[in-house]
Amino acid sequence: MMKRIIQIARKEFIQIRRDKGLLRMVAIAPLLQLLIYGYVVATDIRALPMAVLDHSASTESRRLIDRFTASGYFKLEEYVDSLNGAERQLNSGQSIVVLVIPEDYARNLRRGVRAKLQLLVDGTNSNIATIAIGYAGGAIAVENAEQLQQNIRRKGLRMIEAGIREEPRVWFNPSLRAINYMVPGIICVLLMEMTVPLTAFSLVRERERGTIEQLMVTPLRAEEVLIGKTIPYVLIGLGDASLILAAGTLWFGVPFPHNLGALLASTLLFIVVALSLGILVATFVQTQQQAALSAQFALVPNILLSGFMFPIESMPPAMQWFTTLLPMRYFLVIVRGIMMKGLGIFDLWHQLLPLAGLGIVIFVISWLRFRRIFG
Amino acid sequence: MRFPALRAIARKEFIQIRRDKATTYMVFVFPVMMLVLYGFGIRYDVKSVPMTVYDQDGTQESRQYIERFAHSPYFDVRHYVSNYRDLQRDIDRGEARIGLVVSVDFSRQIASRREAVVQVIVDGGDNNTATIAMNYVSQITQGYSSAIMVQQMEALLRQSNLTVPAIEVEPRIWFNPNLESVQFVVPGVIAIIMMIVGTVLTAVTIVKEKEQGTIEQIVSSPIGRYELMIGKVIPYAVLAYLDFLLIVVASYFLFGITIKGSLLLLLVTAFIYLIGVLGLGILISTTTETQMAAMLTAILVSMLPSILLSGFIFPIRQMPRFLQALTVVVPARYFIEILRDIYLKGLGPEYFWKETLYILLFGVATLVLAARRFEKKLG
Repeated sequence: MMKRIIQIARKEFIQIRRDKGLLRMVAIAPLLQLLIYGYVVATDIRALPMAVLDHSASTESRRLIDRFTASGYFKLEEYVDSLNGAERQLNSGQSIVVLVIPEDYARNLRRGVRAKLQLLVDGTNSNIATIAIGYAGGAIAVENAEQLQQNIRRKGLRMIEAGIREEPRVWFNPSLRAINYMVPGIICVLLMEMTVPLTAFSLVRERERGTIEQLMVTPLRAEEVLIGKTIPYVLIGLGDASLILAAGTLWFGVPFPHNLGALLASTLLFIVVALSLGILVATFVQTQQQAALSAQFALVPNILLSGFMFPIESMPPAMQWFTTLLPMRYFLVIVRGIMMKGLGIFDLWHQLLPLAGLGIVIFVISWLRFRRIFG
Repeated sequence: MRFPALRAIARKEFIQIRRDKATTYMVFVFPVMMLVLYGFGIRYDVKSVPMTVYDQDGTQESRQYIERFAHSPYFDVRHYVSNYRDLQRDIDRGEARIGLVVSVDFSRQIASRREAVVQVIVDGGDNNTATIAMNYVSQITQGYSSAIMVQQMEALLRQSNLTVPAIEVEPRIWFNPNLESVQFVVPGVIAIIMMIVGTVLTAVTIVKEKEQGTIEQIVSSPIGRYELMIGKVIPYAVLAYLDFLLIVVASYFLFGITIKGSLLLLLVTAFIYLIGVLGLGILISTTTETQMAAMLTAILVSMLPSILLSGFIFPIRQMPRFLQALTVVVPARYFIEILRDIYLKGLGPEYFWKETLYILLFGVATLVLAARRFEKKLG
């Protein structure tokens, strides 16, 4: 049996080796993604472009503007001199925030009357808008505290300094480096990207070309074909994952995981799940074109909804329930747990169990269907 | 270019698509599924961050302080623990991203008008969420602090006629006043779906002829390369455009998303975007020999950039310079900008004629490049 599996695997390897376009992509994919994800996702939101409409033009108003820009959260793009100018800034997207300081701002502050400001916010990107409003609130809170102290001192009163001090302690990733968080995620995405579509393709290809009949008349058994054909893709997946791990630790300085055994064991489990998913796709489609379309549409939810980019707990309950069907959701927690928290297999059983369970279900369904169609 | 030849190729492709019922279903079912999933699912505002509280003080003051977290939409206080070990376990398992430890002398310190200390333990794993959550903790703590201060100084402040706070800000949100992320996500989903359907299907369909050897038959016929390429692409152009219309209609009925600007402009710019999408698909098909390679290339050069480098979710301005430079060749970037201008801002062409021109240029450039490579290979 071993010999026949090796034969099939060899045939598949030869086909892959001949396909220069495929090899190129298999090599480029991990590095390109490390670059893009590493730098795009989870970058801090700073230097939001801001315009100012300063009707007050006073020392006070200038000090307020300084508060905004000095924080680093806002970058002064332009002074505008009318609401029309402000509108143009927001329309063109040149600024996403316009701070409107009314004429009586300084006068009100000096008289001790509450001064009102207006902040025009481009709500297109709801996330950025919320963050911008938060940052603006912070800048104004600082200015308010300053004002209060000044006033109290001016009246000859003493400030009461009671308050609460926070002692933040960041665990696991004390420097809050985005790349430390992204590398485990990219390993997961890449394994998914390489194994699911490629296995689906390699099986459907035999069917589309009619070579599956030739395989059927040989003494090969269904499981031999299946194992032999998937071995090369397991290796490609493992190879790409190691490449990411190496580049991440050597180039980006991500801490090397101590528990390599746990990482390897859980990665193998995940690859088996991903392969089963690929086989499942293959049993549902007839042509490679269909496989391509299904694979792409199957990948995107895993990228967007697995917790790779956005925290699952922020999603609405129905969607959180949906994410329990995504194998990547569990694997992500496992890889991040091993690489960032230094956890072992036994700490992660509550993620490994559902992943294995999901894997068994997918595997059994895909195996039954595979045997009926390819056997 | 001769139209009868073009028509013949397009007709052949149409017949092949029609026979392939599954593809047709997929082309119309997947986009709606995607719209629903992402419209409901993508919430990248940080909310209900799971939190575990260790209240060493256990007084009315400490409970008041903790209550502020429990009532905040940003936090979800799931567990109360009574030792550090349980706190650590919750954070290790990811059951809490934040651990709040209120020190044993919290209320005593406040009563004696000294500084009280709270410890905030943050799971720094997801640095983005961690930073935002820490900001929220600070906001709540500051709010509580200043409430205490104002309370303690109330008599003084009243005597001296001081307004607290001195400055008040009133945010006015334009374009998307309720800050619904769905409004922001849907235009991006339109651009991405058109990209997947247009690019992947065209790339694979041309490579299929190569893989199956039928391309030699076509090349040896009197059909020219432009006729072959365009003829093969027309059916997918029609499919991608129908998808676009489907999503526009579905997003209206499912999410109530209306177009503030001109519908005509939307239809025209989508058509121009289609040229860019199909051009990219054909170009991919000329650089690969197998459908498998074509699909993998399509994932890497069309799907991922359309999601990550297009401003779909991550603002381009916040990226490092070299990646910003890379976004120039991502047509989805321009189309998403146009879509948002039309959908959310209701702007006219004076704001996006440049973007439209870029897409057109990209489309023409990819088509010409593809045609030349095609000739070299087969000529």
